[in-house]
Amino acid sequence: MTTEERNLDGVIGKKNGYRVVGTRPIRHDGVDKVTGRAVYGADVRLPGTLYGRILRSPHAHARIKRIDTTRAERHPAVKAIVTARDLPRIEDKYADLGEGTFNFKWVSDNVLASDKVLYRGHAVAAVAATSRLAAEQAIELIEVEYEPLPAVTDVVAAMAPDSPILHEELVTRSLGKPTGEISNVATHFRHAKGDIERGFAEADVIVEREYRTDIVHQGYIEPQTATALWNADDQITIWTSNQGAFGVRESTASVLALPVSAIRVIPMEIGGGFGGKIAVYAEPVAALLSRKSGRPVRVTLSRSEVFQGTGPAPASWVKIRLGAKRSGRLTAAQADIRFAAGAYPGSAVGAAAGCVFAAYDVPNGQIDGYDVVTNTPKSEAYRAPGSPQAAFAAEQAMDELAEILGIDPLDLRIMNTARAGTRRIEGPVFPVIGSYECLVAAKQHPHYTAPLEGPNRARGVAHGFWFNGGGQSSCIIAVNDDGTANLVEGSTDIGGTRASIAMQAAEVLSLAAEDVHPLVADTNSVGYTGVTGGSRTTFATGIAAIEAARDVLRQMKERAALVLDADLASVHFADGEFVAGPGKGISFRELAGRLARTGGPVTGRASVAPTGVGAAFGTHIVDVEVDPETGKVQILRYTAVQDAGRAIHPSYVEGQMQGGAVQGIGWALFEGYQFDDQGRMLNPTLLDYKLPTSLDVPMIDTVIVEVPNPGHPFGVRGVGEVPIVPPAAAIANAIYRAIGVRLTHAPMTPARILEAMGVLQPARA
Amino acid sequence: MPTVWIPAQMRDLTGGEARVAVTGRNLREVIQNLDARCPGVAERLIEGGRLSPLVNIAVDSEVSNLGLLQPVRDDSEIHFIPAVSGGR
Repeated sequence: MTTEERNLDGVIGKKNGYRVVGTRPIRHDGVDKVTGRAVYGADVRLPGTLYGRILRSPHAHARIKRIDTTRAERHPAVKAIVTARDLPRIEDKYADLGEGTFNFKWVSDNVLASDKVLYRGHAVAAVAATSRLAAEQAIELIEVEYEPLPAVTDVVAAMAPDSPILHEELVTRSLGKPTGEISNVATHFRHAKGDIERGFAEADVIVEREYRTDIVHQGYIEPQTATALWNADDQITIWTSNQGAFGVRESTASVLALPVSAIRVIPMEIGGGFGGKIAVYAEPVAALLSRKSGRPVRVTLSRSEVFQGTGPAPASWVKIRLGAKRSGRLTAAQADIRFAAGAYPGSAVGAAAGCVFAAYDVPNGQIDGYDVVTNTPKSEAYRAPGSPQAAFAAEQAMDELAEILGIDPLDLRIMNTARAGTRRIEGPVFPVIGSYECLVAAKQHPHYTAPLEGPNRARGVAHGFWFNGGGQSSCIIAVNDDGTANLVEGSTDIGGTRASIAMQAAEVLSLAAEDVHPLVADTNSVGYTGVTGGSRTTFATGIAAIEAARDVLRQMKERAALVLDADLASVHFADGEFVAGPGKGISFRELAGRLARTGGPVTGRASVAPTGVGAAFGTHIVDVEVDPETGKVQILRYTAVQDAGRAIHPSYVEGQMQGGAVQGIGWALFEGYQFDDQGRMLNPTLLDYKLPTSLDVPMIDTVIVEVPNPGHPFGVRGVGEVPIVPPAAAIANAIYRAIGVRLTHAPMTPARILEAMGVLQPARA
Repeated sequence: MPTVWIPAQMRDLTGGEARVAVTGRNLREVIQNLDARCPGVAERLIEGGRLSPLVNIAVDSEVSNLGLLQPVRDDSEIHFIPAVSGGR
């Protein structure tokens, strides 16, 4: 559908039909960010603020027998101490905060452990003191008596009949049906399509393999931080850097058993989140400490606490079985996906199951998913939650199939790609999607056919899918008398969404992007807005901005009719001018200056919960060189192709594609939690947990494909998540073609590569 | 009549049927009528009078954000899908 067919005022006859959309203005928050003036959570300075510190469990699994805070209370600088006894008892209560469903009973127990600690780093108590040093000293004075219990950190081991049980009351459920079985398996579900047995019987070739990925952290540069002030009137204000102020409000209110109206959350600038800053950790603790002390309290986590006490991406075990005819046409696809949810149920295994074969038209499919609790930090969302793990397995299986069949790996994918009308294994049918277009663009890219010479060098490809999200969003637009507009929104700006949302409003209002001034507001200042996550913000908050701008135009037309002495029905808005006939018009800017004398200010508003979300696909090409003596992998060249639907600000789309690819390179080669046999993380610092640096990655080339999403006025699809999906599989496929050995466990570290080559013996079973 | 696609793990309630056509103008009526034919369905999908937070429902391939109030057409397809994350 074209823009004109949607009768969008002010969008005519410009480049690609747009005046602002598709251009590259400087981001509105750019100066503050590059000059260091942007205010982050830890910059908040309130008079009398206390320093909060959290005492964490040294055990991966233990019963708490006793907590004695007497000695800490005697410390002269200590003003408050809290434990789980200060939290209200929470029954099962669920909420979808935008990128996953939360059960606040578990959230509460994760914030401060009650009867058991379930992972090393689990919070058990917190102190507020007048100095950071005093707070550090005081938590050492808290005596906790533990009864250590056997721990299990591996997802497969946790499913074994003789595994230690984390939750004695946990009953495996199967789509709402309790099985009656106590185990670490919280949930088992199955998607099925066609006849899986017949599909494999019809296959000429079958490939089958098991894959694993380790726990990976989002690696945001800014640790969690929250400052809370519990006022004497029981109104609470929280300053925090989180992906969604309203989600913090809802989560904190639920954990503290308060109405949401008792809490105002002020969102600060955020130093990255990638899904890891949706759950609350510091916020309820800071609030409780403030209530007890009567003073503002700031809790800022250390890097070690971030690794051990917040929610990373789950480890996975995935078994893939694919069947195909000699022609390459898939006949059957089967996946068994097991995710280590961490201490409490609720991993991204549901999403993984929806993603694993989504890119392909599978006539017969079966997907089993298992959500399994383990003695590791409760997993949370991480950029396309579940899809990188699924793609690491499925896209290697596709590569294996291509090799056996002697078909080009992109041709095999093109042959089997999902298109509009393809029924997914879990049931729904795809609307217009850009999977085919991405694959073809990759095939036609010069990188794909460029010579690659030299020993131990090879090229790999992989394809990826992410659903993208919708959710609730709100915007308010006020017209200034100088002809500009102020835009108030509730979406935390992580990746340039101030710009992408303001540009959509500017497009409708025929203003320059710089003439719409966006402000990310607190929870008392704008309507409910879901988290910045799920690749939903430019889509959903963008629609809110478009609707708010349309509301502005509706009101401005009334003023124009008054000023022009014309019938309202005759007034149209085009190219920044309200026109009521030949020679009878007034510009937006001039009319804005006359609002005070034509009825007062004009403020548009919109709150939306849009459907019509457009799914995202991406195809990546990578060249690697493997050093057979050290196992080191060097990435020589990297190209990312992605369907953006419509790139509102192409630079920020490219930035997302590059950032996702770099994080995916981290999954592929470097990142992973390592545990000892007691369940203790061995690498909880950035010295030992290696993130990719500028020395590890080449320039990531990008190709934006635009297959407009019919569900958005400009065709927007979310772009932030899908670029992390293909990299690990693409690199694994390249490594295989370089050394002839398939790596099935990510990260593919030098040690694992040498083990796979038979140069090194496995370090442990 | 709207068609409900029954997930593999609920087919014990439908005698193995993968698709069941039932009347209803919205999801609440569809689930009520499905439950009348296949007792136990509502218990798995509804908690406290609301759609379970652990289940997403897609109507005509679009995940609904209206819960049980979601209108359905005579030719609608309805799918029950586990929520993106969840478990208990």
